[in-house]
Amino acid sequence: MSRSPGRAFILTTLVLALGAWVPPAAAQRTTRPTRVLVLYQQQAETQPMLEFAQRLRLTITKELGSPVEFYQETLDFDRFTGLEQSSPLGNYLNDKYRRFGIDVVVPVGGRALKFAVDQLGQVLPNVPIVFALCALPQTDPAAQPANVTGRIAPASRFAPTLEMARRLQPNAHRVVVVGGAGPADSTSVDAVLSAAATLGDDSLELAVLQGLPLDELLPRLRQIPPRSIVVFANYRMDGRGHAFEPLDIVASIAHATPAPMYTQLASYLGEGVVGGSVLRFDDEAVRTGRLVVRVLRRRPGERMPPAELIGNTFVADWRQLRRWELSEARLPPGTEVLFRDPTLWQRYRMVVLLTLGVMGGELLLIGSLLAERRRRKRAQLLAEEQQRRVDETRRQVAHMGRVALVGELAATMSHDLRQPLAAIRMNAEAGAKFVARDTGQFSDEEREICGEIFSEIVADDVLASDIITRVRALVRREALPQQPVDLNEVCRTSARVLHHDAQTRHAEITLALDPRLPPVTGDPVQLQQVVLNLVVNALDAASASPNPRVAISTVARGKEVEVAVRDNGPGLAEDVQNHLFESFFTTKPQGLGLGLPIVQSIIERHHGRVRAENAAEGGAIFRVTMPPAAWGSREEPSELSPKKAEPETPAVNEILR
Amino acid sequence: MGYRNEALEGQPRAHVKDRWVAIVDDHRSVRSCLTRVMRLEGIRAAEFASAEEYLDHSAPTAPCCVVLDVQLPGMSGYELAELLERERPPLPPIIFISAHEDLLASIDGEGRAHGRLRKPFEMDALLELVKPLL
Repeated sequence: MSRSPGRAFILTTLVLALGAWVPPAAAQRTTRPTRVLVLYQQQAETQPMLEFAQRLRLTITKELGSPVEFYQETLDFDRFTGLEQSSPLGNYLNDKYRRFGIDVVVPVGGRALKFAVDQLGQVLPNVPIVFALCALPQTDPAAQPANVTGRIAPASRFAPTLEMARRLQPNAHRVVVVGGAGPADSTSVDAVLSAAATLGDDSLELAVLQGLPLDELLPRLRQIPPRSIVVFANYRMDGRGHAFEPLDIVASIAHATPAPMYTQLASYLGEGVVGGSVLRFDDEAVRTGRLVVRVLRRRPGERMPPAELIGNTFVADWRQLRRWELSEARLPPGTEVLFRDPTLWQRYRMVVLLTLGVMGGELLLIGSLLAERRRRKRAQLLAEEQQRRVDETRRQVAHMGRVALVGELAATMSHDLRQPLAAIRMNAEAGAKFVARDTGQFSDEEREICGEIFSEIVADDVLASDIITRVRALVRREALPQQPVDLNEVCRTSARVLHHDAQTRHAEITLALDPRLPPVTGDPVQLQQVVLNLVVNALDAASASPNPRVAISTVARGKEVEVAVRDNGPGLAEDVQNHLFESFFTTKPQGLGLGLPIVQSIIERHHGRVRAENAAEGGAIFRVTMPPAAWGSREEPSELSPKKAEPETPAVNEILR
Repeated sequence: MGYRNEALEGQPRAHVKDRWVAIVDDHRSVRSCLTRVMRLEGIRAAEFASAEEYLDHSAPTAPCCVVLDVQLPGMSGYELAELLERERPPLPPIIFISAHEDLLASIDGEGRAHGRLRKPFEMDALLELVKPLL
């Protein structure tokens, strides 16, 4: 295939290097690795052969799936002519590989195959041989022994190469064949000419530029008319007997030619030729490797698979297609286009991908951070809003509590003080009467003084009575807001407001709310105050239990709406039950005794009632019943006049039952 | 201020010595004040701190008049009047007294009230109501 001068001792060096290398691990293995001996006909360190060797090893190793050892011999018959028939070389290799069991021999090239069959038969009598890169007619697969198979290329690829040229240049009317003066060159030129003849196209004029020295060839090439097809047959030797490596000159020939040039050798691709039907070494390495594996995996006694014919592989140089303005669409189907000028995308794909990746990552990160931030902010806002509402409710309830407390205090004081003030006044008046009746025991002056004392007591008493009467009137005159109130919401808010308190006491607050509960009419804040008060009391009572529970429930019952707050505490003692709603009556050490009176006062102003009872299963239940909004709205206006109130004693008795 | 029940007037009078007035009020100073005023007028009076205490009394004769506080611990004055009318007829004339106008107003029209006085009241107003019953 290719020949290059120099490097005379390469075989020796390789042989020495291989001889010195004894795989230490191999000897110790019970199941030894598969051993493959590759025989290269030509020097193995040219780029195409190196690639071939690498792919062959890779394919066999990968596809076999078990350890493989590769041994390699470079025969270099192109330079060491005459060694092909040398029995000393054969003896040497026989000696060398006798100690190893070689499982398969892969000769690369027709003469390597011939050497393997002829010379290595003694030591490797039945070892299978799988040949690669051999061509008809030099190698005849049918004439090989039974242990031989491989991949065989057609004699010439010039026919399909010319076909490709005709497709690309339908207007061409001349074929120029360029060849050297050597025997191999002549064979190639003849092959091109016979291939051209098989085209059967009489309009094509054939011209041959053969045997010219390079310095004469190039000017002649420049005179070729443009509508020509130039075929590079081969050029291993010029007319003066100088040997060439065609790869070194094909570029200058292609450069000088004013028409597209075609060839059948893959290695010339990239040197200025348009393309042709070629033998792809990389492709062949893989296919040969697979064939080797198939041979190694044969069952005992199974015959070798038949030799495979290498198919057409069209290859074209994209840059040359551009240069000659040849349409890519005219290429034979399946043509591989090489050296395609990469698009920006292809050229910078990694950079673009990386950049996009980084940008995308950053965007994603930014996006997620923003989303997270927004989510957190929203959650924070929501939490703040909830907290604000809870705080507001607390504040309102606290304010309402204070207002109600002041009102209740005033009402209680004015109510309770009326009795003693009345007594003081009556006694003072009676005293004045006695003194006035006195006959002689007091002096006139003493009588006068006593009279003044009693009348001043009466006067101050009247003053005090007026004050508390005015206070009472003031407290009672407060307007009650009239708006629909959802008691379910009131209960939920209470549970929420007291959630923390309940947690610190390890108490559980449960809600059982009637979804069909109609609204009531009144003051949401005051009603909130009522439920909160009852729940706080229930929590206090339940804390005596090891498992404190408070249940808040609502139910629509006939023409009434009921809120029940139940605890699992000790329940209400009888004496406690009788005084529950009295002012200043309390069972709590810190209590004012005004909570339940305030609850009662608020509920009565909402035309409702509050009752307390003991649950059959323990604990206390406080029930608040109110008319629903439609009923309540028909009732009297919110402002309660003293006349509006029921007699207080019966009311209390009713509540206490 | 005083109220008179004209229907009760003109009933046959018993001997003044047998006549006595019951004063039922949980407020001690009110009780003693009223007793003193009665004594000054030569009227016998007995004090009771609650309705239950009144019901327990062992006097041989019914009082000629009961000065009855409406608001009492336990049984209220109003309930006491109902109970006396039902279980110990005939019901003696009742003078309801209270510091609370609304309580007095609510017992109107039952025919049981000989009179109603809102505390504090003039002693003369009470005596005006009591004296005709002696």
